[in-house]
Formats: sequence, structure tokens, C-alpha cells
Amino acid sequence: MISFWHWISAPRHGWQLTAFIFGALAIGCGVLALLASTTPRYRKTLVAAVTFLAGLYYAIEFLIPPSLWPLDPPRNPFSEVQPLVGTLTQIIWSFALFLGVWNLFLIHGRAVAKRSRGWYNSAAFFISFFAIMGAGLLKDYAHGPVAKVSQSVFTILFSGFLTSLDATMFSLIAFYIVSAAYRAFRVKSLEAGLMMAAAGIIMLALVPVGAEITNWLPSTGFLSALRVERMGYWLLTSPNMAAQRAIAFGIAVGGLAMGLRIWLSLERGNFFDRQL
Amino acid sequence: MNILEKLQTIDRRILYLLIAAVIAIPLLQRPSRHPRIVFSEVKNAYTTLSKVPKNKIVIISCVWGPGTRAENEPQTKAIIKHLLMEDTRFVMLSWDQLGSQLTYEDAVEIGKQLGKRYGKDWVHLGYNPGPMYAIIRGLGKSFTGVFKVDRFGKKLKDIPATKNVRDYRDIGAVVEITPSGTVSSWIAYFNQPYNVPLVFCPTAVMSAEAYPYLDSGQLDGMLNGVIGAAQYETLIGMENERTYAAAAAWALSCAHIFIIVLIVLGNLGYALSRRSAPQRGGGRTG
Amino acid sequence: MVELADWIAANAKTIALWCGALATFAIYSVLYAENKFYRLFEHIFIGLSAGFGVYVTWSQVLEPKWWQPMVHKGHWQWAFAAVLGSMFYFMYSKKHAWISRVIFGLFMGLSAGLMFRDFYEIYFPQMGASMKPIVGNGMSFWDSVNVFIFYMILLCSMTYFFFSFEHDSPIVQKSAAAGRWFLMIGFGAIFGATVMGRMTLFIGRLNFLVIDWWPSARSAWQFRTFQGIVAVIIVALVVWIINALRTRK
Repeated sequence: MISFWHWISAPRHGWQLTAFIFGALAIGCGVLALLASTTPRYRKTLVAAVTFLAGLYYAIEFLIPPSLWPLDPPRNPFSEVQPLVGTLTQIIWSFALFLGVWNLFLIHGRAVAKRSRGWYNSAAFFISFFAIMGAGLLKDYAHGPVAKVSQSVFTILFSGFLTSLDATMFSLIAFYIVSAAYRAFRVKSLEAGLMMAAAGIIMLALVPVGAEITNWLPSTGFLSALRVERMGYWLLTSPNMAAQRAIAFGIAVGGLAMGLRIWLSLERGNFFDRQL
Repeated sequence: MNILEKLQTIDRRILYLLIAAVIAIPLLQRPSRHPRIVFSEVKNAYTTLSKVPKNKIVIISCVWGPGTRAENEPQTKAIIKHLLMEDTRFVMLSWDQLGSQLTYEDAVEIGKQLGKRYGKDWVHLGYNPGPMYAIIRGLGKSFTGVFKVDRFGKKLKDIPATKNVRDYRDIGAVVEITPSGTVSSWIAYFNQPYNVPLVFCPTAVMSAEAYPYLDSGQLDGMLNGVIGAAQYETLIGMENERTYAAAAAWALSCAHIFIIVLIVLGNLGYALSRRSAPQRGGGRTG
Repeated sequence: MVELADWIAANAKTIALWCGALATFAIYSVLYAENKFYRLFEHIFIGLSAGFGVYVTWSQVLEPKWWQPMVHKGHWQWAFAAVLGSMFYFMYSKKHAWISRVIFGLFMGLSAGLMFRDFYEIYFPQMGASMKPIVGNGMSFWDSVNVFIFYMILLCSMTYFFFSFEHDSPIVQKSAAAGRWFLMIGFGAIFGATVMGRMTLFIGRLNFLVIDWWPSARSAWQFRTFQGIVAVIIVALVVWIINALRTRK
């Protein structure tokens, strides 16, 4: 058994490697074909079983201490394979990236093919997609002038367009806050007033000007508690901390319940109740 | 209709121009004066990283990208500068595709300023897609088992800075620089089980929720947005340098006062318009 | 062509600066009104993000961690990872979409299995830290007051969230009402911090425009180019505004 394991896990080279890779792919396709032929009656059970077994790995890894395993030195074998699990999940997760890309291709491809309204925007999507992907790959794999030009194009597209566009999109929220501060933030009750007062004190306490406003108050003694930065800091570390902890406890219990429901496939809803 | 009520109908675009003007002035002035007050969580972060033994590395985990660059990049630069000044080796890893390039460029820039070399003093592991829990859990057991190569494909076992890093025992601290709630992954899967210090560098939005963790000792320090970065710069001896963080701190001061004035004016105008509305409406006749 | 390539390579950073400024103004134009310029750059952003994502995922994840070990080091077993990864794409098949549920179930199960560790490592220390002594340990009067305030806020806020029993008793009702008030302080803190965070993002962009781009734009050939571009943009804006006013009339 051990020698078979050594044989199967040994690295291969040359034609053997090609054969083993294609063999593995063939076995994988065979398993997928078997899966595809599963009757609908057993599909949900299969999904529930995979979900449960996957969760069982981390549950056993945490709940059973190393001393209970009959190994010398005492160790939890599930903990030993964590690096492999980490790498494997990372690689499988990476394959999922192309899901989003495929979806985008479908949507924008249809727009270009049908010449629908704003189709040139979809064309710009494709041009920019292939431009940066191509520039990136060429700068890494090409040589000479092609690599040089690709590096420049990549710098322009990444540092110039992409990072600026990303940052500017996020920064639009600041303007909406300004507009909302003037038009929408209405103190219609005492509770809202308390919230606004706390927000105002903390906003001033966090920035340098807050300290300057009450700099004239003594830094020690009873009156020092009225300095903006001290009031703000106290609000953050005392009442705010207690309130956030109370919210966190609620989230903790809810998270535990939700985790159990997903692990044991007890969750209901549109996605989970769908016929497979 | 009095002036406050008239101001209720002001075009929002004028407000946009005003906020831009209010913020532009301190940015153009570029004051070198850093905030005088340094919060205790920033001091704790500084102390934690200063105490990392020289035979251990620090992991700088960057989840940020260009979207939150304005807040997280000054934090990253301040932390990198401090570690390089202390001759503490560090390893950077990025969970964001664009952030991977940005964090690498930041480390290269500061490394050049301080005469530090890639591979000897610091390493960048490139972009790591999720799931975070699996990777963080795995690196506690075997660092090079999870991260086999750096961002250039070179084996970590062949790089001087990381060749002796086995597992959690060789990691002196973790710095998590993030715009989202990913710190709980580090707390649950690495720092708490293995008792490794954790410094949290969130954007300001996430900072209010981190105080329970500071209170319980699960976090050993925190840099609160760009203000935290400016305060940290004060601690590492940059208090008289004209940095972006210092300018941003003063720009934020102007912005906050402007926002508070807007809220007060808006509510005053609203209260006045509500008071005068029943009189204008009048009663029904006939 | 070679000269052009050399010129681009020598000036790539400056060109990137200009492209950044153009992209910034294009996105900010939506603050005035919805326009085609903004839509075009929005689509360019999506394309660049997706393309960069594919490039980085290949060059920094799949190539060094999957392709190299499998093809160059002979670890053929990694081929099974491709099979597992391909299961995601069955969601596009009407007949076999359920197969994608298997791989999604795997990841959901893995993260659900971590809930025990999550609960223990994250929240048990929080519970322990909540048991604060009210007196003793060299605590001053104000320290004790602080701890008392902490307990009051924590218990009242938790009472507000307990929905598994009726809030019949006046003590529970008043506690829950007080909890709502105390939670407002927490929400105020979040609001203040959020304003700070969002303003910082705009400060970052403005810093780029006034500190990085504008000084660069004032030198030599760039300023002449800049004058030309501004002239074109102003003419285009004037034409657009006149057109918009005509349409409105």
C-alpha cells in the first residue's frame, strides 16, 4: 500500500508526465460524467454530503486535540495537511475568477453583436480588457523591444487609467455625503440628536483641529475631560466600545446559527430549495 | 422666505465645488505639522512592532487596493519605514489584485530611500486570492508550505529573508491593512491560537468596530485611517516632514468643520421652514 | 516606430499621469450630470479591471503555484485541481448546473466548519474581557464609574437585541429603550468615522490632481498639450451645454 502510494505520488517527467496528466484529466472527466448521470433524487444528498464533509475537516481539526490522536508524537493529522488545503483551495478558487469574466463577455459581446444602444462602450470594454491582459503577458514572456513597449503600455494602463479610475469611483461617495449632510441629515428626534452629537464630537476629536479648539482648557484636572480629543476618545473607548460589543454578541450567536444551518444543509430559501 | 430657507434649495454642484475648495487649500499649503495628539492605540502599535525580535519576521497583510489607497497607503508606508529603520525583516502579501502592484511599488520606493534590499530585508509574496481562512490557517503550520514562491516565482527557501521561516514561531507580528472586516480571520485562525501580536490598520469606516478587540487584547494596536498614519509618522521621527498624511490630516480638519456647518445650517433651515409652513398654509375658509 | 516606442518608454510615467488626470475628470463629470464621457470610462474601467484580474491570477497564482509544479516539476496530481475548478462552469449549463453546487457546497462547508473556531477565538475573549471588576486593583472612582457605564450600556444594548422573549416586563422594556439610546452613540461613532473615511478618499484624488499632475502639466511640451486639450474640452462643453439648453426649451 505504501509502495503504491509512493509510486502514485512520485513526480513524473517527459512522456510519463504527459500521460499521467492526461490520465488524471480523463479520470476527472469520468468522475464528472458519473456525476452528470446521477439521478435527481440523489443530487441534493450528494451536495449536502460534500458540504458536511468539507465542514467536518475544520470542525475535527479544531475540536479534537492532538493528545487524543494515536500518533507519536501526538499531533492532529488534520492540522498537518492545512498548508496543502490552503494551497489547493487557493488554486481552485482562482479558476472561479473566469466566471465573472465569462459573464461580462456574454453581456458586452451581445451588445456589440447587436449594435444596441451604447455598443461602443462595450467595444471599449473589450479593447481595454485585451490591451491590459496582453500588455501584462507580453511584458513577462516577450523579449527585446516588444517587452519594452509592453511594459510602457502596461504602466500607462495600470498606473494611469486603472488605479485612477478605481480611486475616483470610490471618492464619489464623499460628494454624496456632502450633499446628504446638507439636505438629508435631519435631526427629527432626540435619539437622532444624540447620534449627531456623538458623531460631531468624534469627527472633531479625530482631526488635529479638534485639539486646537479646546487647547485653552487645562491638560490635567477635572476640566481636562472637556477637551474635545478626550471626550471623543472616551466616547470611542467606552460607550461606543460597549455598544459595538453588544452588536458583536448578537452577530456571534446569529453567525453560529447560520453556520450550523449551512453546514448541516438545513438552510432554506430560493437558492437552497431549488430543484437540482 | 428667509436666507436659510433659500439656502435649502442651493444646487448641490455648488456644494461640490465648495468642498473641493475647502480641501484644496491645506493640500496646496502642505503643512509639515503633524497632529500633536497621538492616540494610545497608535502608541501601542508602535511599541508592538518595535519589540519584534530580530530573528523573526513581520507579516504585512494588505487587503487594500486603489479604491482606499488614500487611507491605507500612508499606513503601509509608515509601517514599512518603521520596520526598515528597525532592521526588522518583513514579508508583504496582498489579497487585492491591484493592491499587489501598489504595495510592491511602495516597498521598493521606501527600501531605496533607506538603502534596503529586496530579498535580504523584505520580500513580497504577490497576489493571493481567497479563501483567506484556508491560507491563514495553513501558514501557521508551515509558512513555506503555503507560500512556496515570492511574486517573481523565486522559492522562499532560496531567499535570505525567508529561508529560515518555518511556521508561527518565526513570525513576530502581523500587520493587517484593510478596508474591510478581514481582521477577524487573522484573530481567529492565527493570532489568537498562536499568540502572535496583531496590529490593525483599517480605514476610518472600520475603526469604530475595532475598539472591542482593542479592549479584549486581541488587537495590540491600531492606526485609524490616515490620521493614524500621521500620528505614526510622528512616532517614527517624521513630525516635521511634509508628508501626504500630515496634509490630509489638516484637509480632513477643514472638511469635518465644513460638514458640521452644513449639517447645522441644513437643520436650522429645515426647522425654520417647518415653523413657518403652517402660517403660510392658512386655514380653510368656507 | 522604434523612435516612438523609445519615446513612449521614456515618458511612460508622465503619460500615465495625464491618463490618470483624464480618467479622474471623466468620472467626476458625472457629478455635473450623467454623460457619455463618464459611461465610456466606466466601461473602460470594467474592462481594465477584468483584464488585469486575469493577468494577475495567471502570473501570480496559477502559473507559479499550479502550472510550474505540474508541468515543470512533474507533480501531475495538480491536474485534478483543474477538474475541480472546471466544476464552477457547469452553472452555465441548463442540464448540469447542479454540478456547480457541489463545488460551491465544498467551499461553503469549509467556511461553515470554521464557525466553532471563530466563535471560540473571536468571541470567548470578548466575553472574558466584558467581566470587568468594578472596584479594586487600584482603580480610581472614575475608573469604577467607567466600568459601571460599560456594564449599563452593554446589558441594555444586548436586551434591545433579544427577540426570543416578549418585552413584557417594564424593566426589560425600559432597558431595551435605554439600549436603543446607547446604540445611537455607537452609530454616531460609525457615522463620524465614515465621514472621515470617505472624505479621505476624495482628499487622495485631489492630492493627485494638485500635487502630482498639475505641477507636471506646467512644464514644457506638456503645457502646450494641456492648453490644446483644455481648449478642445471647453469647446465641447460649450457645444454640449448649448445643445442641452436647446433641447430643454
